Amino acid sequence: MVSNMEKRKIRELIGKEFIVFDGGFGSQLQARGVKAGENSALINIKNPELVTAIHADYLNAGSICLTTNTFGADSFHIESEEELGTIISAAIDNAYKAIEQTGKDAYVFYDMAPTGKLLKPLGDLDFEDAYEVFAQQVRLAAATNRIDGFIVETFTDLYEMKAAILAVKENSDLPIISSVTYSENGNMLTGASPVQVVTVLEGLGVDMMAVNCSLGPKELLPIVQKMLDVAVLPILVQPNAGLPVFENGETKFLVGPEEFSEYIGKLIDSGVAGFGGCCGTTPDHIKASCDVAKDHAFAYAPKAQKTRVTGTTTCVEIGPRVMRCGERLNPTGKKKMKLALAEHRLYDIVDEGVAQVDAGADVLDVNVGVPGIDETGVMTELVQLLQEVIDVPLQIDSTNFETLEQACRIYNGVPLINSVNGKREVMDAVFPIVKKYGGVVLGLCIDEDGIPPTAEERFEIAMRIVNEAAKYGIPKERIIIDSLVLTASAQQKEVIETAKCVGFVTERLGIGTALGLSNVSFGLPNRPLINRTFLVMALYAGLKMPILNPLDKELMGAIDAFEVLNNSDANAEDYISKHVNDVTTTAAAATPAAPTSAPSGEGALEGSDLFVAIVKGQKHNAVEAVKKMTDVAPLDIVSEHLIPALDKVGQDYDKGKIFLPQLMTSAETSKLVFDEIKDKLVSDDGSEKKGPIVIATVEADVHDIGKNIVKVVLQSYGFDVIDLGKDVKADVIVEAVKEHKPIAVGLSALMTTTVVFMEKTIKALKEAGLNVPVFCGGAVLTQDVCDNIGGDYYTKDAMDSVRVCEKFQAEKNGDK
Amino acid sequence: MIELSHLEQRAIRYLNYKGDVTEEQVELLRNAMNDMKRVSRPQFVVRYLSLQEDNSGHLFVDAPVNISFDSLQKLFRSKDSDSLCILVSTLGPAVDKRTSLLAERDAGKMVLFDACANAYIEEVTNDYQKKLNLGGETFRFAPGYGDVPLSIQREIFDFMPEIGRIGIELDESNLMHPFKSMTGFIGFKSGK
Repeated sequence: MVSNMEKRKIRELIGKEFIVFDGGFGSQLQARGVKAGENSALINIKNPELVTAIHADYLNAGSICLTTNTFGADSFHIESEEELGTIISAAIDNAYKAIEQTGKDAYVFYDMAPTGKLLKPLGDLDFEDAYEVFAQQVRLAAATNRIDGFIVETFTDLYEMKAAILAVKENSDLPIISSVTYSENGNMLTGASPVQVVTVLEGLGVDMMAVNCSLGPKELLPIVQKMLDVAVLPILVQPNAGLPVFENGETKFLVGPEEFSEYIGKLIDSGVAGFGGCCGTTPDHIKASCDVAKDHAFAYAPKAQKTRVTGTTTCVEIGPRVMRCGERLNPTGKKKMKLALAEHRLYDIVDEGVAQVDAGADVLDVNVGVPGIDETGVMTELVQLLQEVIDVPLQIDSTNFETLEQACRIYNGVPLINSVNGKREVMDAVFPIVKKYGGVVLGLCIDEDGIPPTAEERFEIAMRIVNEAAKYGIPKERIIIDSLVLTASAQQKEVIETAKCVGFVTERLGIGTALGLSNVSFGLPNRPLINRTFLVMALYAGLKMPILNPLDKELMGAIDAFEVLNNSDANAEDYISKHVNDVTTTAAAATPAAPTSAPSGEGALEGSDLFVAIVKGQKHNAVEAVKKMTDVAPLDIVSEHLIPALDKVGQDYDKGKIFLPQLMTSAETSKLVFDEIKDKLVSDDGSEKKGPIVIATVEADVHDIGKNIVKVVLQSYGFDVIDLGKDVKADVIVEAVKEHKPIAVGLSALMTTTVVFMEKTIKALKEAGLNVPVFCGGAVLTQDVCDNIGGDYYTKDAMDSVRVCEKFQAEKNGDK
Repeated sequence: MIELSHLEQRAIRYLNYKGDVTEEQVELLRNAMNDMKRVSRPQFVVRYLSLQEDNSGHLFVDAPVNISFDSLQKLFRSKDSDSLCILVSTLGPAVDKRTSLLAERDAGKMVLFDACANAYIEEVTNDYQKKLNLGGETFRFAPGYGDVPLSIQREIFDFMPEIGRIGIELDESNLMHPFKSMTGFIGFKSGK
């Protein structure tokens, strides 16, 4: 055995010779008598000899790296830190005993497994809570001073992997191997592609990337190849012994050592730098693989560094094609967004982000810099909300270093970071963040002396940024230079210098460039024209990522056209698909035509603007229309416009001409109109509102969509609806009826299993002596079911509910 | 006649719409479908069990999941199943969040979104089931139908802790969260 002093550091071997790990451990424990489902980490104490024996068998088979038997040794499975420390220590001891017994030299890697829980937003576990589960293990394992590194393995979610990697890096300086698991579709469970995996793991600065479990070597080969095609760092592969097969009630792995090792040979030829095995593999699989490896040359060759960032399930490379970065999530000059931020209406901002992605943005800039708000708190919350619904990469934009750091930390993936510049203080603060969290940083050509007037001077700042980054080990490909756009109306001669600097950075440094376009046109008429023209100039100079308004179709179209003319869009495929239906405006057609009357014939809608707006569900138009009707009595608005429009929509729905959602949008529109006039309505004629009607989804049923539909439509017909919500117990409904004295009660249930609660509610109402009609609806309801449970009326849909309630209303009015 | 994908047709069925669709409606539907797909993250877990027969001819499994209900017995008998596949799927929590958000802002869009999500979970689960290549399989039977009580969900969740790994939880009423999640029993012939 070689002592630790003489042993070369594992970091010296990685990427230079084969790193041979061990094979399946859990499956070996089970093969040697441990029951499936038992926490295997406990075996370190219960039966240390067994654990040592497995390690020893792998060492004899040729493994040079042992994985400690600590899969599942975390605070979720073992609560007491003391016990956890004892188990971790025992696991490391067991590995060392095997080294002593066999006299083989080996490295001991602490094995860290996923928590078994999903991180938010897919699950409930907070990122920082996951981090702490890993950090505790790292501290306990590193404190033994007996491990050579960490292998973080079988991760199905890159976000959780990020938490584990940060935990290792912040609590030890030992090497880390990060091993992900792919599903059969070739992506990770949470959707990350192989290229995305490489981008994130390399960005986070691991020592070696790895793939293990889930699939056999044959199935992993094409997936690993995709990683190898782009990987700078070496890759370790530890496949299962084939795909699991279900036989006689048991899950089995059928690929034997010979077939397994044959594929290991192929993987080595493709360039993997290490191998081992996972579920179902045995010391024989490792021995056979070591034998095969002797006949295959070590073929690891790092690929060229590229400029890539990732979203939750996307990976974008900046360079081959123009990337469109959406600029609209920035409060500068945007009153609505400022207000939304001040009022913490972050979902409105998310919607703006969605609109930009729909309009073709590849990346979204996110800036929340408004005075008086907690910028870091809002930024981290917004980044998480955006990543729930948007999978394109985000560009975290702040001048507050704490905000940048916290947003980069919580970000799922490796982001664009906006920005660093030539100022010493800024470089000292931002580069450590870029180094730690990965990603690509925008370098602005500005320093302590401001923005230089000439292209050469700005390029000098770009060089300074790149050189300073190199000191942190950040390659130039992780920097995009922004030459900064000045306003043509104020600094006209300097605009062209910006474009020139783009050219210098592209040609001399060979890295990407970004520009925020909109500034250029400030103070000039027809700003879009100036923006568009400057965009094309800058693209021709080499601009790779314009930061622009993706909702400006002409601007976005200019990029599409440029990519055809620049030969980037092969066969103009993208251009054609996007613009095939464009209507081009000729000079003659562009002449303003005389206003035309509303279209006539089939499908045309005749009636007042208000009538048309309600029928079409155009909320804004409807409100505007009713505001203009100052000379029409409110009651007439209701009887001559609103009700006829709703009747038309209701008839169209009954005839199957429109969707239910269209009916609802019209209903909501009419409700807005009603809200607009209701004050005057009451004062005008003193008439009472219709209803009230109490509605609820019954106990044990949390499906409230159907009930909500009925509510919206009833309200649009002027009914006062008291909505008790979902999962409402019978006694609550009884009390509500006593309190509000409704003209009817509507009950909804979606499932057969909850219809019983509907029956219970109806009985309770009767027993309480409340003589109120009950109408019942829901997916499983039929007339028969309704009759059986004692309901008074079965309503098949929302319009049916309206008809029934109108009947109750008429009865009520008749009673008066 | 506007050509609709299988998924779009399914969503329209969920809307209970039987008329001819107009271009305007197709646009509404496709926007909702894109919106829904953007936030969905379909996930699946599956477990296989051998079906065994007791002395009285009832099928059972060697697991704490009670399959003695008539609906299930008939299901498995209908295709002479010798194995049971329990398939659980979800579209993920972001779909629920978006549904609630739309409910507050635009009920029409919410209903359309919901119909798209219903169609999508059905479609992706069917696609996943096909890939399992079970052979001689029955249709997928969901708890809560027939005489199979929803409480069987608790047994399934206790037996398959990996369901938590794809982010599904059961509430006190044995309903799954996220809502757009499915559990299904599929009988099949493992020999085929």
